[in-house]
Amino acid sequence: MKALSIAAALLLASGVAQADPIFTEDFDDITTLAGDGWALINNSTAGGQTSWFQGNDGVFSAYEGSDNSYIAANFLNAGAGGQISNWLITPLLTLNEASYLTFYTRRNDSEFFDSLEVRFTTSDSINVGSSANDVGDFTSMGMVEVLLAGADYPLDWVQVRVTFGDIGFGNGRIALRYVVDNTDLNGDYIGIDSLTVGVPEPTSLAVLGLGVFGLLAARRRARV
Amino acid sequence: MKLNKLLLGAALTGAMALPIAANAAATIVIVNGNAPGVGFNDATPVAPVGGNVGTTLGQQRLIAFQEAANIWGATLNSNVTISVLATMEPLTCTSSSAVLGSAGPLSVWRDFAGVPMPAHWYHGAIADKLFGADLDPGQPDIRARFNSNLGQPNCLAGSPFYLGLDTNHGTAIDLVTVLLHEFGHGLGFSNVTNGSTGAQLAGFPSMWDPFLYDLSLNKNWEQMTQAERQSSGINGRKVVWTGNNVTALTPSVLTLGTPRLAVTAPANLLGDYLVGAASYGPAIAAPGVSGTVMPISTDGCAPLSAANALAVKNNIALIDRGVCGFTIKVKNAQDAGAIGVIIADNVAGTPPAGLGGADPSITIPSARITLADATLLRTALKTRSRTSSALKVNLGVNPNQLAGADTAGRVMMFTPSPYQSGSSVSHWDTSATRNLLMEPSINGDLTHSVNAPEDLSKALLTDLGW
Repeated sequence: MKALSIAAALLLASGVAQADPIFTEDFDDITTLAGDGWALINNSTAGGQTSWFQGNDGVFSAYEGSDNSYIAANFLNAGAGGQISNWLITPLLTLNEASYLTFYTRRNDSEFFDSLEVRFTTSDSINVGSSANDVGDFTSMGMVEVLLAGADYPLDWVQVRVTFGDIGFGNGRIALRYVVDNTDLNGDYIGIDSLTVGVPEPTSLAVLGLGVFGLLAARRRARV
Repeated sequence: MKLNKLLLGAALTGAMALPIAANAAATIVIVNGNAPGVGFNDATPVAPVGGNVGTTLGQQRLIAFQEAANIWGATLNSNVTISVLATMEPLTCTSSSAVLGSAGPLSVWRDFAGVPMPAHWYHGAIADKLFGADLDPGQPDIRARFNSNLGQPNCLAGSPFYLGLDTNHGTAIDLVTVLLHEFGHGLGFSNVTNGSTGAQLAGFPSMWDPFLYDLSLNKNWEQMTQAERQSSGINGRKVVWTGNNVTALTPSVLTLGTPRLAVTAPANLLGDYLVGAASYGPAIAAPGVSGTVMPISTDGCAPLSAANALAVKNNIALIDRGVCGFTIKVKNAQDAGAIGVIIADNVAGTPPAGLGGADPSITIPSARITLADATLLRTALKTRSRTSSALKVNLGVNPNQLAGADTAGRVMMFTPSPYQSGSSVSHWDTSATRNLLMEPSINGDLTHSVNAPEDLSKALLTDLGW
């Protein structure tokens, strides 16, 4: 059973009633993702040995659940010296201006830095272009971007929260994009766990605006 | 009684006979097969060395031969003189490897009077002993050849034969040890059945076959079909010697603790993997080193890059064989903070050979694994980070297994894949520790003993009827 972080709950305390999440994914078994409507697209050049893969508890354990129950990407997404652009795209969702996305993420402890973007498209598209530089349909006015990069990328599991505001109306897909410019110099290993999309009652959202996001230092929780 | 003899090689005609009698329970006679001026007849003046008082190269060679003949002669019992036709001549070699010598019986016999086991081939020397007289009067029993070019630039450069009798051979090759080894083959330590094809000689098994047992097939070589023998000949570290004399003495000779790579994670790769031990650095011993395996992105022949150094620091490095020597790779990993090194072979074959070389500054253990095992283990490395992977191992020993024996304490024979003509089946496996005289390669730490607790050569001959 998952518990929302206290920090995240505080952010919601401005009068927004907590609604049940409309969508959750714990990445217990990533082989089920495609069947559930997810798209996993590794656009890295040159191609590497891996794409998104089941978490490796030899590097670190999941935020919660069994030790490997998270999804991960690493510097081997591209060949040596390559550019990583590895997409993890949700199924089609229906959102409103109060909708939010939360997930937990962390990186491995090294000086080889990772970065992660959160992007959005207001259509049922998985078009991410054809090269590592492309973002396809995930670059229009509908984009909401969270960039975790460099030393700011947390070394322990931290909840990331994204709200959608006006652009959240209607159908769309959310993408998490693992980005590394040159795997000779950057890129290590990241994990993503406990992803939730919620749609609260859209009545009291005055304090939440376009592109507001929170990156809140949550202490690592004991696994259930 | 039916007398059967098969000649295995033509004796040299016109050989100069120079009998050397060993003062022992058996008499071994060396027949000098070299032409004037070469080999044993080389008149090049030399200084005395290590107790060998000969004043020419040829004399010193013959004195070394007599020493080896004395050692075997003191160990064996036979009323029949054993005759060895020996030559020193150019044998196969390169600048970095050489055939030191070769030897085998000139004739084999079966179904002679007094034979303990009918319908099996016996080497000539042991057949004579069991028969109680020379079955083939006037003919040598053993043919032996030794490399006359050893130590020259294109023949294991810098490692000539050491002709002293005191084992102080340094970096040279101890000739008496090589002679003891080759005489051992001639006396019985070699299989007459063809290990490469599995074919019996003229339709009969040899005395070797009932003792040669395959742990996969659960049969000895006499019980197998020809095809089964052929597959058994390359069943690495799965073929053992079952003779009682060897097995009884094995605990007094071999060290308890068999080196192995134990995978402790991930679950799908758990188990013990075969390793080839290194001739440098600390011996693999209990408790060994435990840690995470991390590969590097280069051949390891140059000091490691920052990324590779980060990968192996405090971990066990996985490095591909090739381009440079093993000690260079291991030293570079050690300098980067690795706690151990696994060398992945770059050619197929099992079991993994040892790691040669010398570097006294190496302080971390290293071992070789097969290409196939390396490929398997690498599947767990794709999802690694820059500093950690899912592959956790212990490079140590199975504490309950004698080094070079199976779990039942039976010594393993040398059965690598691919088959090594002239070496496979007729030697102990290279994993034996302490090192044994009848391994396929001469190790520098051998004594001149053929008996327990230093060695098992005589014990095997006893199993055969000596």
